[in-house]
Amino acid sequence: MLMKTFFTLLAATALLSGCYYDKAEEVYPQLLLNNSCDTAGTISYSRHVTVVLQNHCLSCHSTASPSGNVTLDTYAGVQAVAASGQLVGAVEHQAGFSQMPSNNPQLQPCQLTQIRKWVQAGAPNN
Amino acid sequence: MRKFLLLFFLAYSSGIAAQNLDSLLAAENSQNDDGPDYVSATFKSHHLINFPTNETVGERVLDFNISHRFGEFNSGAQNLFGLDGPASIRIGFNYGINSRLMATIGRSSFEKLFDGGFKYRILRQTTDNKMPLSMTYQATMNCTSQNDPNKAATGVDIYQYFTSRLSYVHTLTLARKFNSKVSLQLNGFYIHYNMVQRIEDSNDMFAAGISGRIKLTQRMAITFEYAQRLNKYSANFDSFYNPMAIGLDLETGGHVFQMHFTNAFAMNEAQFIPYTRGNPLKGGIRLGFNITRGFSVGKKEGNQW
Repeated sequence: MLMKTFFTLLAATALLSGCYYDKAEEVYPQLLLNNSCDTAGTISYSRHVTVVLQNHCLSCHSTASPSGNVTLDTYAGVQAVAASGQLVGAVEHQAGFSQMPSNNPQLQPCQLTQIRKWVQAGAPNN
Repeated sequence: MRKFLLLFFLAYSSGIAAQNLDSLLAAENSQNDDGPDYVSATFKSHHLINFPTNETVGERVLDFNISHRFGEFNSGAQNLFGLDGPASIRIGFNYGINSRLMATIGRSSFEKLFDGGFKYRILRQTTDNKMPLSMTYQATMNCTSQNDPNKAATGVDIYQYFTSRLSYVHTLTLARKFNSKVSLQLNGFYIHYNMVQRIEDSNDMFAAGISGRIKLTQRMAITFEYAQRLNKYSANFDSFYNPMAIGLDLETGGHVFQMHFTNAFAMNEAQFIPYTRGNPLKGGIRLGFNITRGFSVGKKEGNQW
């Protein structure tokens, strides 16, 4: 009897929260437009690049916990991996580089464009 | 909708099965005072490495477990072959409501995932082999608490609705202890994500697993597990790998210490079954461990000091 009560509770929990068959790209078609991040004009370190790093990299690559000896919360740290080609190689999943973000999907195409353009421009501190 | 039906079906059918079994056992008990002897300790713990086993914790036992996975070996010597991280951790509690039903809550660092669920021993193997197998069902509900990492880039928050954060795992485990050294089990996994990324992705995924242990000594055992993913649930199916692991179980007093090598980074079935990224052929393997400690809580009936 106790068993039945628990399973009923479990089923009720599932019912209340609901079960969906959603696809993010259907619910939010803006995701497919891929124009929501700005890749035109000059890419700025402070306005564009740090936003991407903040959301995808700093949990493992900050001064406090520099995985692989890579720190991305200082301009000097980012500039070093940009100059060595490590930054673009890792995020674009090029051969010979660890694929980043580790254990997570690749960055959005427009974020890759931002990083590539910024590195090609000489990784300025702008 | 299909999911509810399945859940209800499983819930009630297992309830009915339990009642039938109980009445059968009661009938048997009236003939034989001792009752059937259930095979104990098919596995040492409620989890083998990543996979759940047929075991639940004992009645009124609160079990605390910490699991940890390091970084991949192929991250190089400077990263001490993954020991520097990135790492993932799961902290969990299991409570034995009775000798067959266990409740679980836990939280994984990867994707900041909370999980809660139940595990119920539907069938238990007996020493006289009248029941040759153990069967255990586990249902888990997961909720990720992370923010959409692409919110700034895409301009939309895919977690705008709370229900988009939820996923569910159903596992049916068939286990048999062949002798004091060898136990094997088959696992069937059904995973549902309320929201997946791409239009061509599937919200449901299925996998079949095999796992087992070979005891070396009374306190030490070699364990292994492998799961084959059965449906093409993602457009990126080929960039994920079947989860596998090989490990060493050590039992020391009330602790179970499990050390292993696995290609899976996460510890929740909803994460490591479909989304394991470590390529075992290219050094995408990591060191991990689980530590389990049981505490007796509450007064046991007839417990005399």
